[in-house]
Amino acid sequence: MARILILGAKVPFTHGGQEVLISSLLGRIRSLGHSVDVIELPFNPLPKENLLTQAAMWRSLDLSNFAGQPIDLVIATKYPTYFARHRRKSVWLVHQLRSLYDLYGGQFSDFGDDPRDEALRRLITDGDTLALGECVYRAAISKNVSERLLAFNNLSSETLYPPLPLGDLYRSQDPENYILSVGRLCRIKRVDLMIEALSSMRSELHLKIVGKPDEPGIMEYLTNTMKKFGVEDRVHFLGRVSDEELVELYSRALGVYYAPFDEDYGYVTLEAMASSRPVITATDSGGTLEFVIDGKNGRIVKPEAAAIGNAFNELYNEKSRAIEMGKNGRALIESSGMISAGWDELTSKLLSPLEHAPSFSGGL
Amino acid sequence: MKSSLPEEKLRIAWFSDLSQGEQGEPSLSRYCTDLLIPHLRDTFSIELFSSLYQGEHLGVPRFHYLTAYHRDRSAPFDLFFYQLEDSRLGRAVRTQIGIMPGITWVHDPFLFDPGAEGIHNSPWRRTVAQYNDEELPFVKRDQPGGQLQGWADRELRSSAVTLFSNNRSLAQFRTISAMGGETLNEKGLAEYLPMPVAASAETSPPRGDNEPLSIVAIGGTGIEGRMRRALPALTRLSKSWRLTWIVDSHEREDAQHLLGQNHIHHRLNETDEDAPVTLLTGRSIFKWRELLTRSDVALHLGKPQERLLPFLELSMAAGTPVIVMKRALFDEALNDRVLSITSGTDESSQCFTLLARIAEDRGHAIGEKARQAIQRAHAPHAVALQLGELWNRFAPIIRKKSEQQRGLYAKAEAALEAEMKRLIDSEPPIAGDIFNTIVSTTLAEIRRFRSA
Repeated sequence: MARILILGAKVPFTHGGQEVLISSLLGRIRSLGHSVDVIELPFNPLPKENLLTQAAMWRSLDLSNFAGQPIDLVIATKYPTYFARHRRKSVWLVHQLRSLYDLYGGQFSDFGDDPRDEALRRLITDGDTLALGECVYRAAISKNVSERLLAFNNLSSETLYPPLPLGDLYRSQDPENYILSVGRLCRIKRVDLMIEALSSMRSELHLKIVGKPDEPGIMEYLTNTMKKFGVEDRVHFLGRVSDEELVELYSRALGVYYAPFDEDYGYVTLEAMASSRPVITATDSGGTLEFVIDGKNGRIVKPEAAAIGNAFNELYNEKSRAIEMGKNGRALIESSGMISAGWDELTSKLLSPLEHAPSFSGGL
Repeated sequence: MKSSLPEEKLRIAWFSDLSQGEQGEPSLSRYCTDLLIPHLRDTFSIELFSSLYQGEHLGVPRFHYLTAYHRDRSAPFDLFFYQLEDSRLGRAVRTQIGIMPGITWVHDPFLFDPGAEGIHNSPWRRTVAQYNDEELPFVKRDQPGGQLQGWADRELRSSAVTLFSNNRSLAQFRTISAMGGETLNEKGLAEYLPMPVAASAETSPPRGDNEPLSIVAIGGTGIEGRMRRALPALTRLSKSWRLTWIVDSHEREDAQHLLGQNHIHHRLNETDEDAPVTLLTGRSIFKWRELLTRSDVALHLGKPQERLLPFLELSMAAGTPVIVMKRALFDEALNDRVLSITSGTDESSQCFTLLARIAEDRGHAIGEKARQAIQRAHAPHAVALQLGELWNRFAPIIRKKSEQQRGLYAKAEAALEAEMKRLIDSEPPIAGDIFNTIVSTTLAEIRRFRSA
C-alpha cells in the first residue's frame, strides 16, 4: 500500500467546498487501504506581496519522505499547494489564484494596472505553469477549471467531478414555501441578488440562507440590502448547520438559489439536484452551467434580481413543474455516478502515477 | 526591441471587446473589428485579444487578453491597438491600456462605467510619469487613483497615440492636452479615424405622399438629448406622422412622461411597432438599420457623449435625411449633407420647419448627398486603409514605448522582490537568510523557466 499526502491550503476560520473535497478524498483513499494524510499550510491572500512567498514556502518543503519512510505520491489541490516538489505529483485542481486569472479586471479582483501588480501576476502565472507542468497527472474539478488551465497556462487536464460529500443521504419531501441558499457568504456568491429578488416575489416565499460570513463587512451589507428592499422578516440566516439539518433543508425547499459569479464547480448545485430540487442559477455562473439545463432541471437566468424573482415566482405558481424539474435533476445525478460510484474512477485516476516510475524532473 | 518580422508585416496586438448581446447585437468595438479585420488581416500580422479564450475570429487568431504578454515575449508586437468604449464589457481593455501602451481608438471619451475594481487605486499618473522620468520611484500602495468616470483621463493619458471617431472629441482632447499635465502622449499625437459603415444593402424606399411622415429618433430624455425640443415640433405638423424613438432602458419612464407632457402619450403603443408612437429600448445597430428602411427622417439631436455612434453614420449611409444639432460630429456631417438646428430658444421651431420641409419633398437630395459622402469616407476598406497608414506611421513610437514598458516591468519586479524581502524581514523569527534560501530560489527558478 502506498503512502500518500493530500496538500491543502487552509484559510483559517473558513469552511467551504475545498475542505469538503479534501476530507472526502482522504476517506476514499484510506478506504482503499493506503496510508494517507493531509498536509495543510495557512494561506493568507494579503498582502499581495506575500502571495509568491507562500508559494515559495511550499516549494521549500521536503515531502520526499518522513521518518525514513518514502512518500509515494502527493496530490495538490489549489494555489499554492502545487508548488510543492515531489517525484510523483498529481493535481486535482480546485482553482488557481482566481484574482489573477478569470476574475482579473472585474469587481472581484484587486489587481490592477500598477506595474508591480502586473509583474506579480506574470511571475505567479509563469510559476503556476512551471509547477503545474511538473505534475505527472493533472485533473480539474470541473470543465470550467480545466478550460481556464488550458487558456491561461496552456496545460491540458482531465475533468474529474467530485462526487457528493454525503453520498445517498439526500432525500426529497413535499416542497414548502422557502428558497434555500447555501454557501460561504461573500460578494462573489451574490446572495444580495437573491435578497433583492425576494422583494419582487410573492410574500409567502421566504429565504433561508445557510453559510457563514467569509468577508469583512458582508453581513452589514446583506443586512442593509434586506432593509433597503423591506424583506427583513422574510430572510433567515441560519449560519453553519449540521449535515442532517442541511439534508432536511434541501429536502423541503421550493427551489435552490445558486448563482455565484463564475463558480469553479459548486457542490450546492449537485446537492440540490440529489434532493430533487430545481436550481436557479445565472448565465455567468460558470461551473453550475455544466449541470443545470434551463427549463429541464432548473432555470438559467440573467444575473439580475428581477429575472431571479420571476424564475422563483414561476416555480411557486407551477409547483408541479418545479417537482418535475427536481426529478430531472435527481435523474441526472443518479446517471452520472455523482452519488458515490464516481469515486472509484476518480481515485483510480488520481492514484495512477503510482503505477509508473517516479519522475525526477519535478524535484525531490 | 525590433519586431520578429520587421521587414515583413507589422505585428499588431488588437484588443477589443468581442462580446455579443443576447439578441446577437455586437459591442461597438466588435462592430468595428468585424468590419475592418477582413481588410487588414492580409497586410498585417494581427492577433486579437479579448476576454474570450483561444480560438479564431474572422481568420485571425484570438487569445485571452491576459496572455498578451506571453505572446509579446515570444514574438514582440510592433504595436498594441485598443478600442475604448464605455461599457462594462470593455473593462478588460481599459485595464490593458494602462499596462501595455499603444494606440487607442476612442469611441467614448466620456465614461459612465466606473471601471474595474483593480484600477480604482490605479497609480496611472505615476506610471505615466515614470515613462518620462525613469528615476521616479513607485507610489505607496493603495493611494486613491483619481477620477475614473467622466472624461477618460486615465485611458487617454496612458495611450501613446489616440484616434477619435468624431472630430468634436478630437478637438476637446487637443484643448485639454494643450493645458498640460503628465501624459504618455508627449507630442499630443491624435487623429480622426472615421467609424466604418458597411454599404447599406437597403436604402429608404420611395414612399407615397399619403403615407404618414415616418420619423425615427435616437436620443436621451435629458437636456442634452434634445428630444424635449423635438416633440413639441411634431405636434405642430399638419401632416400625419409616426415616431419610433430609441431610448436607454433607464430612461423609458422619463420618455413616457415627456410624451405625456406633449399630449401625445395616447398615441403610444408599447407592443405594436406600427403604432403612431413606439418606444424602443436598447441601442441596437441591427434594429436601427431595419428602422431606417421604413423611415423618412432620422433625428440625431444628442451630443457625442450621448453615445450616438455609429447611428448617425448608419442613417446617412442609408440615404435617410437626418436632422442634427449644428456642431461637427465628424467631417462628413457637413451642412449640405444634413439638416441642422442651431442651439437656442427656438430649437423647436427650427425642428418643426425642417420636418415640414421633409414632409413636403421627402429630402431625397440631401439624403443622397449624405449617402455618397459616407460611402467615400466611411467604407470599411477606406477606413482600414487609413488605419493601416496610421499604424505604419506610429509603429516606431509604440516600439519605443514598448521598450520603455519592458524596462518599467523589470523595475517593478525588483521593487516587488524588495517588498517581499522587507515583509519577511519584518516578522521575526522568519528573517535573514530565509528569503535568500527560499524565495530567491523560487524566483530564480521561475525566471529560468520563463527564459527557457
